[in-house]
Amino acid sequence: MKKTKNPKRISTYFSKEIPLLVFITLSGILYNFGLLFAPFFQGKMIDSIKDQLPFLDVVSLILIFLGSILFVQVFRIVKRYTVREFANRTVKRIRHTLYDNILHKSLKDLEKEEIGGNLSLIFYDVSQAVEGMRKLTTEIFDTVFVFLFYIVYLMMFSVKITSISLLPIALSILLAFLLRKQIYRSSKRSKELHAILTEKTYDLFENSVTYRLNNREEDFLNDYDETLSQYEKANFKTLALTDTLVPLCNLIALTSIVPILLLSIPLAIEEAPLSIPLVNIQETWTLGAFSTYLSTFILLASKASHTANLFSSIQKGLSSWKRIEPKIQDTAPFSKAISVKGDCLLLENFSLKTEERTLIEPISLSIEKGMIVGITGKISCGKSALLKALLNRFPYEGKIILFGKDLSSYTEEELAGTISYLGHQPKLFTRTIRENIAFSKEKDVKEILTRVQFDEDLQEMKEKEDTIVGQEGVKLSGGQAQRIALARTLYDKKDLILLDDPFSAVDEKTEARLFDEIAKEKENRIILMTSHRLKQFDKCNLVIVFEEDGKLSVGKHEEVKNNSPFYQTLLQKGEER
Amino acid sequence: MKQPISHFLASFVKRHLFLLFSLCLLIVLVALCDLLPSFVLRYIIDQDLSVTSGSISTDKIILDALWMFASYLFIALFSGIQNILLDSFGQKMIHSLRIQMMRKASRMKYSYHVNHGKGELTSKVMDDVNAIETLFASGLISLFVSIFKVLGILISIFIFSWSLGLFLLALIPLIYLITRIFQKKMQKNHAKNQQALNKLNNRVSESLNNIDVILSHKKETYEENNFDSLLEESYHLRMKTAFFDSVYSPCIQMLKAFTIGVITILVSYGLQTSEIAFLGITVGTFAASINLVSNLFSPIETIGMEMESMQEGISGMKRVNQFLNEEEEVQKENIEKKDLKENVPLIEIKNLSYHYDDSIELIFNDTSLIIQKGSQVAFQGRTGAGKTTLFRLLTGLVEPSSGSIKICGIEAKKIPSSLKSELFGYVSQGFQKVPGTIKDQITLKDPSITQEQVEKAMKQVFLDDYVKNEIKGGYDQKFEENLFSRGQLQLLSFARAIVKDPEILLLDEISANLDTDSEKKLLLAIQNLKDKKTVLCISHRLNEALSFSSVISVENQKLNPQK
Repeated sequence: MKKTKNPKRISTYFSKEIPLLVFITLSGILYNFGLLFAPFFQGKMIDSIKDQLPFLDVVSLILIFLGSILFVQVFRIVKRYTVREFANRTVKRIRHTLYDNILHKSLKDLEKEEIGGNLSLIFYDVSQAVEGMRKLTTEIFDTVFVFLFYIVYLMMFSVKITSISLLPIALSILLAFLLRKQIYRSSKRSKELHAILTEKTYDLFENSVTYRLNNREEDFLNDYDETLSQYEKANFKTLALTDTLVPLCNLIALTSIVPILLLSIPLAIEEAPLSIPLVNIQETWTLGAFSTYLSTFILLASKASHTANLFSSIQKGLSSWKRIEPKIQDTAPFSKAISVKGDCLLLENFSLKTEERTLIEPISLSIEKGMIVGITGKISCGKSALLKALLNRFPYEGKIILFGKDLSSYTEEELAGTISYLGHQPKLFTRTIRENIAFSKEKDVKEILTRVQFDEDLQEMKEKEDTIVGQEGVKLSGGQAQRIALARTLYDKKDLILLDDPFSAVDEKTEARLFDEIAKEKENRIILMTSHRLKQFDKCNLVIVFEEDGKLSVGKHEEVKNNSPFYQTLLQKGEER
Repeated sequence: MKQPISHFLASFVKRHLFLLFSLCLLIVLVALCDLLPSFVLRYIIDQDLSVTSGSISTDKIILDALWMFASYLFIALFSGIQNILLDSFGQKMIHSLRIQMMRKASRMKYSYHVNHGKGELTSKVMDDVNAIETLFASGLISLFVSIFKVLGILISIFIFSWSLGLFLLALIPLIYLITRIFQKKMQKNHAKNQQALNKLNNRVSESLNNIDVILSHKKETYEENNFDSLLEESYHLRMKTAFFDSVYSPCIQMLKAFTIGVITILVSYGLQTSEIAFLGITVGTFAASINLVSNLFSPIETIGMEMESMQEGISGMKRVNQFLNEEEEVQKENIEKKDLKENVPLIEIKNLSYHYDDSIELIFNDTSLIIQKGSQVAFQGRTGAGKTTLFRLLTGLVEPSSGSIKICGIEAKKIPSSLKSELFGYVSQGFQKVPGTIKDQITLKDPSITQEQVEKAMKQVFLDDYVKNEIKGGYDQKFEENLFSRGQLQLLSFARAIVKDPEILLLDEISANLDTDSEKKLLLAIQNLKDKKTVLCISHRLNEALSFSSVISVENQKLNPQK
C-alpha cells in the first residue's frame, strides 16, 4: 500500500479519496433533493382523490411518482455504497499507517509500548474515528443541503409560517452544538477506560498460567470486575447523553407544529395562494399542499434532531482521533540493509558503564576477520551489554571501529547489513519455519536447517519446512525454537555475528555440533559469542573473560587460562558439573 | 452443542427483571404514541379541513394543534426514557458477559490458553461482546420496538379500513422474503470478516512482541506487506457486506412507494366506478393511511439498517458461545492446608497414563511412582519424553488420561489454586514478566505478601542487595527486562516461586541458561532449602551438583527410579 503523506491531518484522508467524495457528494445532493418528491407526490395523490381526478391521470401521476422514487433510490444506493467504501478504505489506510509507524519506531521507543493499548488503538479507535469521519462526510453534506432544499421548498408555500417555524429548529441545533463538549469529555473518559480494560484483558490472557499457579486469578478478576463497573458507568453516561439528546432536540424542533397548524389550517380551508406559486404544478394551499408542508416540516425537524447524533459521532470520532494522532507521522520508505566492508573490529579506549557501576574498564583491542571469540564472565558482568554496545544499542565510551568505520556513525541500514544478532528469546512468528528463517515463502532453507541440527526434528513434521509454528501451528520445544532462531541469525550472511548465549536450551552433544557449524562460518567474518558453558572455548581463536573488577582478560584460551585465576575457576566449575 | 450464552441471557434477564419489564412497558408506550400524530392528522383533515362552508373557530384549531404537539411530546418523553433504559440494559449486559467470560477463562484447561493467540482472545472479550451488546440493545430490542410499531400501525389501518389492512398484511411475506435473502448473504460474510479481524489482531500483537527481530533484519517491508494483505482481505469482505447493506434499504423504500401507488390507484379506481370510496375510506383516512403506510416501512427499514450490526452480533455470539463451551478443568475441591493428610506419601502417582488432547500417542503409559516428603528427586530423559508434562500433571495444569496423581492423598487436579500456591513453587525456564514494579514481579500484586516476605525471598536468591543498591527506585521501580541479566531473571522467578514458602519446589530446566555465577547462587539457594523442602528437578547438572537422593529416568512412557 502506498504511503499517506501528512498522516497527522484529518483532511489528508479526505483528500486521498476525492473521486469517491465527489460521488458521495453528488449522489448525496441528488438523493436529498429527491427526498422532497415523496411528500410532494403524496400531497398530489391526496388532492387527486379529493378532487376525483380521472383514473388515467391518477395512473400517470403514480407512474411519475414511482419513476422519481426509483431515481432517488438509485442515487441512495450509490451514496450508501460509496460512503462505506470511503470508510473501509480509510480504515485500511489509517490501520496501515499506524502499523507502518510502529515499524518505523526505534527499539528504545518500542520498549514502552503496551500491546493491549496498541490493539485498542488500531482496532477500536480507528473504527470510531472513521465512523466520525463517515458521519462528517455523509451527514454534514446531507444536513446542509437538506436544510437548504427544504427551507427554500417550505418558503414557497408560506414565507411567514416557514420563518416562524425555523426558530425552534435553530434552537434545537444550537442545543446539540452546545452539548457537544459534554459528549466529547464523557466519551474521552470511556475510551480511556476502554484502553485500560483491553490492557487488563490482554494481561490476564498473557499471564494466565503464571496467575493460575500462584492463585492470583481471583483477585485479578475482582479488580477486573471493578474496572468493568467504571467502564459501564462511563459508557452509560456517554450513551444516555446522546440518546436523550435526540428526542429532546426533536421535541424542541417540533414545537413549531403549533404555529404551523394555527396558521396553515385557515390557509388550507380558504385554498389561499402559495407565497411563491408554481404555475401549473402547485398554486394554492390544497389539502395535498397542507399534507406536503406538514410531512416536509416533520422530515426537517427529524433531520435537525439528528444533528445531535451527528455532533456526538463526530465528537466521539474526534476523541478517538486525538488518541491516534500522536501515534502517527510521516515516515520515510523502509531502507535496505547496507553492508560495510572492512577487515577488523577495533575497540579504542572502550569502556562500558551503567548508571550505577562500571562494567568494563577502558580497554583497547583488535579482532580480525576469521576469528571466533568466546566471551564469558559472572552474572550481569556486562557480556550481553557488550554485545548490545556492538549493536549500538547500549551507550559506551571510547570508540568502536567496525570494518574501518566508527560504529557511532553507522546508520540503521548499515547496522542491519553488517551485523546479525541472536538474543535471549527465540522470538518466532506464527508462520512457516521457512518464513521464520528467510522472511520469504520460496527461499531454500534446507541447508541451514541441517546445519543447526534440525533434520531429525523436521522428519517428524508433515509439512517439513513449511510447517507453521507457534500459536496456531506446531508447538516447538525451547531447544527447537532456539535452533530456528539461530538458523535465522546465520541465514543472512553478515560479516559480524553476535550470539548471546546460543546454547542455553540445547544439550551438550548438540552444543558441540552447533559450535562446529558456527565455527565454519568464521571465514571472512567475525563471530562473537557469549556463554557460561566453556567446553567449546578451547576451540575459540580468542577468549574474553570479564574479571571480577571490571577488567577484561583477553587472549588465546591457553594464555588466558594461564594468566587469569578467575577463568581457571570458571573452567573448573564447568568441568565439575 | 450446549448453549451457555442462552443460559447467560436467561440468568441476566432474571437478575434485571424490573429493568426489562419497564423497558417492555416503554416500548409499548412508544409504539402507541407513534400512532397518535396520524390519528390527529386524520381528525384535522376530516373535521377541520373538509368543512365546506363557514369558518372554523380559532379555539378549535389551537386545541387540535396542541393535541398534535402533545402527541410528539409523549413520543419524545417515552422514547427518551426508553433509550436510557436500553443503554443501562446494554451496558450491564456487557459487564456481566465480560466478567463471565474472564471467569470462564480462569477455569478453562491449560491447553486452551496455550493454543490460542492472546490478541485473538482479547478480541473475543472486547469486540465480540460489543457486537453482542449491539445485537441486543440496538438490534433485537429495536426489532422488538419495530414489530410493536408495525403491529400498532396495522391495527390502526384495520380500524380505518379492513380491505386496506388485508392488502398490507399480504405484503408481509414478501418483505420477510427480501429481508431473509439479504440476511443469509450477509451472515456468511460476517463469520469470515471476524476471522480476518482476529488474524489482524494476532498479527499486531506478534509483531510488537518480535519487533527487534523485524527491525534488525530490516524486514519491515515483508512485515508490512504481510499486514497489508490481511488488511486487504478484511477490506474485501467488508465491501461485500457494504453492498448488501446499501441495497437493502432502497429496495424497501421502492416497495413502500409501490404500495402507496397501488393503494392510490385502487382508491381512485373505486371512486371512478362506484362513486363511493373503494376501500371505504374518507380523504382524511386516505391521507392518514398514506402517512401510516410510510411509517409502517420505517421500522422495517430500521431492522434492515441494523442488519449489519445484528449479523456481527450473531457471529460474535457463536464465537462467545464456543468460548463458553470450552472444556473446563475438573471441579476443584474446597480443601485447605489442614485437610491434607499426613500419613500418606507426599506424591503418589498410580497407573498414570497421559496423552495430549489432540493426539493419541501416549506420553505416559500405566506408570506409578511414590515420592516421600523431604526427598530430592531429579528427572532425566530426552527432550519430549514428558518431564515437563509430568510437572504440569503434578500441578494440576493438565489432567491424567487415566490413573491418578495424589498430593497428600488428594487428587492433584482437584486441588484449588489457593492451596496449590502454598504447595508448589514452580520455576520454569526463563521469566514471565507481569505489568508493574519489581516487587510486583515477586508478589504478583498479592496484598497478603509483605515487604519482609519479598525481601526474605530475594535474600534467599541473593538479589536483595542488587535491587536495593543498584536499581534506582529499588523494589518500587517499574519493572523492565533490561534491568536484570538473564541469570538474574531466573533467580527472580525462583524468588517468585518461594515467596509463599511452598512445600514442593518444581525446577524445570532452570539451570540450562544460567551463567556460572547465577548458577552458583541458585545452587546455594536450593542447597539452603533442600533440607526443609521437597525438591523435584529436571536437569542433569543440578542433580550432579547437589547429589539428589534419587534420580528417575523418564523414558518409554515410564518413570523408572535409577537409584
